[in-house]
Amino acid sequence: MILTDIQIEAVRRFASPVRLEGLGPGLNVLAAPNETGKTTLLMALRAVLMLRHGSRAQAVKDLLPYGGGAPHIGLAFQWRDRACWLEKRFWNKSLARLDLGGERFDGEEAEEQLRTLLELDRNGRGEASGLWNALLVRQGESFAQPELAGAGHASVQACLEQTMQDATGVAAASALLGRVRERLGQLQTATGRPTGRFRQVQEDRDRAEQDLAALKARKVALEEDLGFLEQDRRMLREHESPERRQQEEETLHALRQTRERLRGLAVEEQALRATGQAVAQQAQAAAEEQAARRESAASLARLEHDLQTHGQDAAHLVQQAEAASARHARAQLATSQAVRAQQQARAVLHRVTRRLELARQAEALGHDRTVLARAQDAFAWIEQAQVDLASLKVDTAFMRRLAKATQAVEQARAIMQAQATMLVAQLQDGAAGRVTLNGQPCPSGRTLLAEAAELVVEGIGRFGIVPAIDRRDHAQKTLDDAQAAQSALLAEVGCASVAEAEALHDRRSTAEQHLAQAQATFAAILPGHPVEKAATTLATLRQNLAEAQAIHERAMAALQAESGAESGAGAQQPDLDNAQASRAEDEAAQRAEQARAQEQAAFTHATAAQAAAEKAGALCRQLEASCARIRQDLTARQTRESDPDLAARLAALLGQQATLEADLAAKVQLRESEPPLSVIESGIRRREEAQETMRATTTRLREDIRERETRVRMAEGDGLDEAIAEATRHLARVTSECEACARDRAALALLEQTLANAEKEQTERYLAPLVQAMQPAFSALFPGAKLEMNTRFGLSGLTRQRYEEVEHLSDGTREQIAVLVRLGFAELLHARGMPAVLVLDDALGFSDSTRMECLFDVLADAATRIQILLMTCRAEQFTPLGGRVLKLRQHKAVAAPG
Amino acid sequence: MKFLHTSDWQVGRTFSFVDDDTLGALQAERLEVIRRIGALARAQGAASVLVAGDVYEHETPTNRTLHQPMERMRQFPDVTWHLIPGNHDADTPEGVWARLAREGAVPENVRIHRKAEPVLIDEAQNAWLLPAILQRRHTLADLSAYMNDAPTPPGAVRIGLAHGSVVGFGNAEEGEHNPIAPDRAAQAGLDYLALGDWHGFCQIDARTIYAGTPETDRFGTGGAGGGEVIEISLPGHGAAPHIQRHRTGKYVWRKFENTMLTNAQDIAALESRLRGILPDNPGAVLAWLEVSGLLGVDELALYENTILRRLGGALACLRVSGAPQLSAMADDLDRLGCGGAVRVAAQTLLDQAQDGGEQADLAREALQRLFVFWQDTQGARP
Repeated sequence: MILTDIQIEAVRRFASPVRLEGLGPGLNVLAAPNETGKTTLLMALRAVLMLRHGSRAQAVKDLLPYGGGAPHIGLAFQWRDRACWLEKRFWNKSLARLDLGGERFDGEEAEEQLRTLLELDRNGRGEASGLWNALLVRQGESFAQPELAGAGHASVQACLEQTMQDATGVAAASALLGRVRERLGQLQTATGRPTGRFRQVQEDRDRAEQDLAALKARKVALEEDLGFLEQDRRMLREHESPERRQQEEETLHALRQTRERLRGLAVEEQALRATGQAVAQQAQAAAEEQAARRESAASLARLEHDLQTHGQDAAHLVQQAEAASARHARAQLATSQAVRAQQQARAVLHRVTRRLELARQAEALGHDRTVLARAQDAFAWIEQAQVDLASLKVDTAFMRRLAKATQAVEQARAIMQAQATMLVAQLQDGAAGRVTLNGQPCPSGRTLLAEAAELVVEGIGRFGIVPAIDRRDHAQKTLDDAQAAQSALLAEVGCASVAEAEALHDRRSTAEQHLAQAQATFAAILPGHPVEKAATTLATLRQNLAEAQAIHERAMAALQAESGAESGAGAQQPDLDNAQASRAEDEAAQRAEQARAQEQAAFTHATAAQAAAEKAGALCRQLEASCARIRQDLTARQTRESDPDLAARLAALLGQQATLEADLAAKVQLRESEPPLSVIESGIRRREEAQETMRATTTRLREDIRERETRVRMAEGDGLDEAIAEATRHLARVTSECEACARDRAALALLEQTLANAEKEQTERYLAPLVQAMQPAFSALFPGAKLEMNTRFGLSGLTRQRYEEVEHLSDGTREQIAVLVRLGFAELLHARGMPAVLVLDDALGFSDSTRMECLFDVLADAATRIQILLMTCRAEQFTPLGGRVLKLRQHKAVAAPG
Repeated sequence: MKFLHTSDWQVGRTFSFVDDDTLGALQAERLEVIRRIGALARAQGAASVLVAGDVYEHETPTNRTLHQPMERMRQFPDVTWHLIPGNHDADTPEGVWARLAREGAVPENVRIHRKAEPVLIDEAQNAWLLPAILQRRHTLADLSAYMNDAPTPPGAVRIGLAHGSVVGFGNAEEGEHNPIAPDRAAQAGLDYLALGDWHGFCQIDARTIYAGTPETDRFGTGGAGGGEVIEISLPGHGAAPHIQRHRTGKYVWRKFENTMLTNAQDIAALESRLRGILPDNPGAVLAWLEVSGLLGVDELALYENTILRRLGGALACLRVSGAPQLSAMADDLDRLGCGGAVRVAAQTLLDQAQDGGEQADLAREALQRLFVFWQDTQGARP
């Protein structure tokens, strides 16, 4: 294919028709700035070749012009020396027309012809796909190697197979593989799980197995029912046998008779045993009576001996108790004496202590009196200071008022002086006296004249001076008022002048200091007592002091009276100090305590002796009582039955007991010759229970037989054997079918695997021509490099000094490789006699100048065989490439070239 | 006197190797043959039909299956049907016979014998029937032994009726169960001993005969043929019985063992043999092929088309065991191309098939499929 003319109208930015001029075989370059329509031109080219005219796919919508209208594209090309024209209009007024030499095809027929011509696949979106997708390279696509699928893959395969001497058959294998996978897909999923018919027969087989198992279980149950039914019927017949019943009744009757005989023997034996026991008890009682009498006599003799011994011991203990009591009385007397001595010593100590206390009280009273005197002095000082203060009325407030009045006078006077006329006289020596002012010798120096004055200079004349004072009267009045107020204020305190007032104020300040000192003194003497209540405080102190004094005096009098009393009683005590008295009291206390301890010991001893004497007395009395009681008891026994009578009765009882025991032994021997009664009763019970059990069993058997018969009838009605046979048949069929499916799947899987392996192997074989086709271009760009292709016709890596995977190469290198791979595809098509076109939009932007030169050489060489259309916005960079220079021109309408 | 002898109806029998339609037809025919027997009895003037056991296939048939043969026999009130239990329908306490008796479902012209004792069946001819009764599926005793001492009036015609295996005849294993002395007729002075259990006609001696099933039901019948009913004419006690075989079966069962196929001629011959069984009614033929051999690609396709598809549709049932194997030679592989991927795959599979081992059969099947797919894809190409 060689493109010769491209015309587009109403495609994106091109509302009106444009035409690409200059197209021809070999290298074609459209260099134009950005946004001049290069990409739109490529989109139009792809659309006219790949999109069906009736499509409403997004790819068609992307073609719609901005101003509305139906995209219209015309393409003139040469196909194997035939001039061809392809024209398509999309969207509303869709049309397709293909002129192949002299043949014309319209509509779908044109699409089918085009699809066949270009070996395109349909896909679902109205856009065909094939190898051409890899040859018309949009902006940005040139970085990646083309992904071939479907027809594109098949086209390359077809090209490669054609170039090989012996056919690889990969296409046929692919077709076959497709069929195999299709069939295999009917049996298993992509993950190998059964599906479709296979899965269905597997499920049928599982269900059939379950059904058969259930039926067989029912069969087993039925056979069990039949077995038990036979057994139950046999047992029932046996249970209901009259001979057996009669035999059992007779056995039971004989057993019952034996039981009655044994029971009679048992009653007689029991009576003999009871009589024998009664006689034995009587004999034992008589023997015990004899023994008791002998024991009582022995006890009496032993008690009498004990009584004599304990009577002697009791007398000795009474003597010891009396001696102990005497010792206790003496100890009590000594204790009372010691206690009295201790009381006296304690009284002495008490008096000495009180005397000391009274001395401390007297000392405290003296101190209180001193404090009171000092406080009274301080209070007198305060009163004097308060009197002085009351007489001095010039206080600080008054002084502030006076200062204010004085300030007013000074202010009024200053106003007057400020407006007064200043007279400066400087008299010469000897002139004094000759000059007078207001009749007075004129002073030398400065003189302020507030009033009109008259200066007389002797010999010279009289000068009148009138000061120019504004509102002089008012000023004067102000001064006068101020002075009057000041005078009135001074008169309040009886002062003639301010200085006198200040002197009085100083004196008042001194009086205030004196008062403060007196109050501080008072406060120091009586801390805690407010000065304001000093008089009251002093009165209270005086009263308290007088009361304390009276109490002290009364205590002293009482002590002296006690001392006098003791002196009068003769208990002359030396004057002891406190330590001596305390020591005497301690000694007296120790002596009293010793006396008490001795008394307690004596008391304890006396009490113990008394208790022992009493205990011995009580024992003697008890022994006496026991002896009396035994004597009384022996007398009573003898009275009831004398000893000889008792011995005779005991002998008779023993003889009777021996006779009874002999009779009992005979009875026991007779009973033991028979079967045990318990065994007979157990046998009777067992047979009675067996009869009862048999009746219950018979009932149960009848019910069981009824139930089983019912189940058997139901199974009969269901035709269980037939159902099992049918289920077995069904299972065999589905199992057979399942095995057939499994075998079919296994065979198909093996075939699929074998075919896939063969296809892969062959694909790898025929990649060699593709590598061969690409190698020159790659060698020019990457000298010495060996190519590694994969089965998807992509370049997986380069081996230069070492193997390098494409994905690890730089962006620029990968783009160059991608362009060369596409160029290789075009070369393949060319070799197959299908001249191809390679269109690159804005490619090779990342190539350096050296590589770019190489690429230009490669492209120029390829352009001698295939048509190449390069679109770029970098005209200067592609200028060295040469080739046809293309231009986009306005055009009248899309139409086949004349 | 004249009577018919039959056995082994085995009503309710199923066949696992046939499809549902054929199964229904076979089962229906096993009932329909009772009508044909009744009609034959009428036609031949036989007043009695002796059925030597195994009327039913199962001990617990469905109600419908239970009553169907009774109702067929009821349709011939002028014929008396004498039935005894067989090993498939032994006279157990809850078996089919007790069930029929319990339900009162036995027609008046049907006599079910459940006791081993002489029964007068033809007063005019003084003919006595001596039935042997199986009360369980298998027994090791010869239930016909009582016939030796069974009393019958002097000059009576004594006819034995039993179900079991004649000792020392045929399959030794089968002979262990329900044995019958081969000379029972002579020992017991029987004029005729009607036997059942073997499904094909089998004559032990002049007076001892297996009638076989009246409608063939298996490929190996145990005896010969099957599908027959025997007509016996007894002129009197001690006279030799006159025996005539009547064809009653509709379906023909044939088994072709060791059928070796190696070329197209073998296939054609096989087709000819199968079609020659019942040329006018191949739909009544059930055939079982045991096939082996080696066929080329084209012959294998021929086999599948001719035998499996066409004849499979023509016959009532075509059961096939084994299959001819693909004998792919270099010529066959060449049609796949000289060196293409498909050829390589085929060669790989062929090598695996020829190497033997577990994968060999699978590889052979895969190879067969490869050729089938190849032909399909080639046929699909324009």
